[in-house]
Amino acid sequence: MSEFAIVLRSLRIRALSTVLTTASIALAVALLLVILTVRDTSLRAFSEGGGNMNFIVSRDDSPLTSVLNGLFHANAPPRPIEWSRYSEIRTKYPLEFAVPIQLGDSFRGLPVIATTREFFDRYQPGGGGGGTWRVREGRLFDAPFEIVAGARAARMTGIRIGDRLALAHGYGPDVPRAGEVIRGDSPGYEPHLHDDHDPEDGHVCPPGHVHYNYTFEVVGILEPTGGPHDRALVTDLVGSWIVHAQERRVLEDRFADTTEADLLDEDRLITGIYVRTASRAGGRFSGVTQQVFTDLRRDPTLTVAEPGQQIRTLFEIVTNVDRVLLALAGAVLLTSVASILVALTGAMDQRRRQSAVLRVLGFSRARIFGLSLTESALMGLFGGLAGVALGAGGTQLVAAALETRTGLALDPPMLSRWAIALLALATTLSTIAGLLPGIALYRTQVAESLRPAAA
Amino acid sequence: MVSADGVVAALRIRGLEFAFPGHAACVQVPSLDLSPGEHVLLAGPSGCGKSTLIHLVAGLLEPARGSIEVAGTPVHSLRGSARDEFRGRAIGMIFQTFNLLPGFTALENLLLAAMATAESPTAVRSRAGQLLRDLGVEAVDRRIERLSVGQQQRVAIARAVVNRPALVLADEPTASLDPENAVRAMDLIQSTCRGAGAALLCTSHDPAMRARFPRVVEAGVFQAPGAVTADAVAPLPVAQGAHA
Repeated sequence: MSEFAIVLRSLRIRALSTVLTTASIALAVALLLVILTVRDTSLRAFSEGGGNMNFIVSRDDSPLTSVLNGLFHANAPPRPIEWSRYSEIRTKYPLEFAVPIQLGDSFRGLPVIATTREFFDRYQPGGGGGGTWRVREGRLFDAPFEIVAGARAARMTGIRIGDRLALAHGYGPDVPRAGEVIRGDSPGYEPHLHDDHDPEDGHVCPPGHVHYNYTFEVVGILEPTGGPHDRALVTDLVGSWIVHAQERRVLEDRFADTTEADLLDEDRLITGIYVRTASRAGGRFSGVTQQVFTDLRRDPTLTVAEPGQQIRTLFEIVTNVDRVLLALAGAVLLTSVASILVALTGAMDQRRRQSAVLRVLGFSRARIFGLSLTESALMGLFGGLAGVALGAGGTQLVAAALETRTGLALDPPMLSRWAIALLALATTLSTIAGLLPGIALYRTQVAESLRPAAA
Repeated sequence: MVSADGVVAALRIRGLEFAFPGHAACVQVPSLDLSPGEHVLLAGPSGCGKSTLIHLVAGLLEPARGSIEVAGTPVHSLRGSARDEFRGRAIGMIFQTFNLLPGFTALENLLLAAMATAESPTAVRSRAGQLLRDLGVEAVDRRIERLSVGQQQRVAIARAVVNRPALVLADEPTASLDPENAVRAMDLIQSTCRGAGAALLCTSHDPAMRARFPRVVEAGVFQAPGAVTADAVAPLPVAQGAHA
């Protein structure tokens, strides 16, 4: 019989107290793990999300909203920028790139970025993917109605090269997830052209409405970049304009297919511009950048946001809450560990007797002390392991909930670097908590402890 | 210590004195020997210090003076874990309340004791299982608290002899039993010790026990701590010799 078996049996004898103590440690570790992992992943996702742009221009209500919507696809931006204004900005300033993006459509809740090839050719995404776009399968889009799926979007939806997608209007926490995959083998597909509009209320595209009249062919699937665009689908801007122009034309009782030639200025809308000023190689925020930034901000209709600065602001707000949560979780862990002390000392009479019997059987004081410490350490280890498992699952749930409610994809790792640290912390603290009872057992007077209770 | 005939005594006590801290001596044993396999009853009233002597012999208490040898080894010259290991190997103990470990099976209670030996786990398991069955414990894998009192007592006896000790110390093993069961228990203890070749030092305040032992040592005068007079501190074994 091994000493480990003795300890396990000892824990089983006090099963209720062992389970309760272990469970409370598990909860504390899980809580800490979720908070720390989500904080780490969100910090990384946010701080690397901007890629090589200097700032983003939009008509969102605030710079922070502009970054959250334009970069992290939290919600569809509410107000568009006219193409003429975009062209003006592009020509007026010395820019390395000004990538137009139009957000507003989605596929099964995932954002669709309508843009130009400049998006892939000039803009480099952030994240851990090396900062470049790489095509895993197929190719980038070359024409309207071709669409490329981000790695995560492809994984989440199961779409394949050659699929045709009917996109939906709108996305965000309150918008139904809609969109259809049209495959050659899809039974009974019939485009619902003209069917989904309600001329009475004049609302051309209610949120969740599916644009069945035009479909987009999946021509490529990207490698992961580790950034927010992994969960997006990217298509040509003109195609998106045509889809929405068609909606307008239907209301005008013009049912013929819309072409690029039919587009009016009012159809050529975007929701944001990714801007990088011309600067020396490696320069991030030069004097020119600052000048352009300041000048653009003079236009009260525009919101100009520097992603890094907005993310820092966001995290300053979040960090205070974060600290409170961490302190609470730490307090829970300390309380749980203290409960080990209570559990072990609470059963001290029984444990003294057990130790006295083991001494009679030839166990030394040091061995008894070791058994006691192992027992408390195991409670911490078991609690820690359960907590890590619980926390890993909890982190994924929290990330999924965040994505559902806010549209922000964190993609946390299954096992974060905090897991081992928290496991070690729980085990160490539990071992320390076992010191006092261990010392008490070490000092146990065998002769006294063996006396019959009634004697 | 080896006797003149070359036999090592199972127990040899010389000039033993013990007192609880702050009190005058309450155990004095000028001389006491047990030959290998010998069964001796240490008789005396409750509270006279019989259990204290048992704990001294087991090396669980430190004497103020004197020496105790078990199977030729001076118990109190061993320190720390060496003494604990020696106790585990050479001395078996039986208690009034059995002191078996709850949560462990009958067999595991024996295996715990056998951890003091260097014997292979397989051999120990086999021997311990056989010993339990020999003593009438069939449910060797049942947890100890699920056995009847009688079965528990058999497990306690088996545990005391599983390491083939030179000496078994039985401290009031029948104190909580009715006369009929006390006889059965003592039959079992003595026959088991005989089978294992172990000497037996058994304490009891029950006069009925005297007849069972070829030799009875009278525990002499023990007194309440702090109320000791020179006259009252008499040697523990006031009488040695065979008592039929």
